[in-house]
Amino acid sequence: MIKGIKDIVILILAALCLIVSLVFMPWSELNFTGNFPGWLSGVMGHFGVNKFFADLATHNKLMELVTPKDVQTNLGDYAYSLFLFVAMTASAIAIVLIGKEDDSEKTVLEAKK
Amino acid sequence: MTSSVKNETNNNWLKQVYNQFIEAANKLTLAIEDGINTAITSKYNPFYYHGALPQFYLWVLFLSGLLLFAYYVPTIDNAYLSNRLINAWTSVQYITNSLPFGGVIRGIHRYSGDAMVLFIFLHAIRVWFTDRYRQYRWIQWATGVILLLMVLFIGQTGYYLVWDERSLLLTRMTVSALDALPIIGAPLKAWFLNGDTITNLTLSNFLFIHIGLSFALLFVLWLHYVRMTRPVITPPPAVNFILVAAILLIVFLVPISSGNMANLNTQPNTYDVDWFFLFNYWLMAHMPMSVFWISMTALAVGATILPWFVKTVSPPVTPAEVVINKCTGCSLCYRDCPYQAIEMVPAPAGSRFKLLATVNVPRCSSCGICVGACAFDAIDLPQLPDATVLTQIKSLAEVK
Repeated sequence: MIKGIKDIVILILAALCLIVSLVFMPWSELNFTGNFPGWLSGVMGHFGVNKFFADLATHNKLMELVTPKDVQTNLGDYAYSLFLFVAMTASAIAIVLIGKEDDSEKTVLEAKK
Repeated sequence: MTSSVKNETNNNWLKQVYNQFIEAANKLTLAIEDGINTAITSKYNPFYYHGALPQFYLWVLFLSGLLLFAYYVPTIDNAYLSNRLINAWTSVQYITNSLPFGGVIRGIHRYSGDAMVLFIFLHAIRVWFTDRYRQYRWIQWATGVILLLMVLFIGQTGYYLVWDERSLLLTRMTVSALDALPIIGAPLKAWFLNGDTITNLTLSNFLFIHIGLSFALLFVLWLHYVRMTRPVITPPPAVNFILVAAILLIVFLVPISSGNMANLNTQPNTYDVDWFFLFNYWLMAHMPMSVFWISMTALAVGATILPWFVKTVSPPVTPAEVVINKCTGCSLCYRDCPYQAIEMVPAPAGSRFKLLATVNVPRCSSCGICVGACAFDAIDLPQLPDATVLTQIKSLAEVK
């Protein structure tokens, strides 16, 4: 199934894209808290996701990394754009790695059948 | 007599330097393209979508602009701010600081504009270095220059709309510049301000120009493509992802902000220059107005008519020729020609076929695609007989 380093890199990029989309983008959208809207908070509480989100905010270095300079409001919006950048870049590189194969000629035969 | 010989010698020397420069630039461009092809294949090479890149940003600008437009209030009133009256500046502040993702959307709008200008310049440089802007391509070049001028003006009106101190200063500088023009200066000033002085109607006018001219871009884009059979107008998704991702990163790294609200009773003196859109204001501030207008006009007209003055690099185009007694009127060459240089006309009386291919000489690039498309050997390039082409292909195959 996995043929080489290229496939491993594609899998890592896909995992990165998923993690960023499912964890970091919602986290920044909630302004780095685990405060989900009422209709969703029960479910999230059941899985412990809101606590996980709230714990993330205690990591100073991470918070420093995702906080833009010269902005006082809506910090989560800017962090969201950073995470979207990571997800889109990872997915673009993965698509290029997969799509490179399409460039090779597949219809050339060595000899007539 | 002596001076004319001297001039000719100078011209030859200039031509030689220019040709050498273009040749070196062409080689460099193609070497970079080859390098990128090796790394990510031609399918994702942005050099092959260089015209589509600014157009992709145009769609981003349309979408983000639509969202900003929903909350923008084009007025300058600031007399009743204590009563929470909203004007252009406060509505922009609301968008940036209070609206969910408003600041990000505003940043995307602003930086996409910068990116569009950057990619238009790169597109122009690429077609210049690869000598693909003149002869049968003059219409693309001329409309391209017009598009660039329109984009620059649209971008400048975007700076007026924020209505901070910089907007006021830029508006007043534009009024001074228009005032300096003889005959057309006064009516242009009245059109620009939508009256005699800066009022709420002025900002409505700026908004109308900003949006109206953006839609007018689509018409000029149509002219830009009119002679291309298959223009590449969309980069592949992976390239689009990178284009958007780059903007998102810049939005995060350099968040957008406004200056203080414009006050008509004050005169701001300094402002941050955005070199993508406001370089002409910098020039305006550093030279007499007459010199500014003459140099700007010369630059715009010179860039537009450039294709008719540069005739030295490539050999002249020898158009393809149709062999009447072999042409079956099948239209294959007509469909394949990238420049719409083949026209199908009724076949002459007595012909077995209904149609005949003809070559529109000014549009022919002598690329040979029609020769390859013809299954009946009915179209030739006079300077490149079939036997020569075959020899060239064989020698290339042997090298490989």
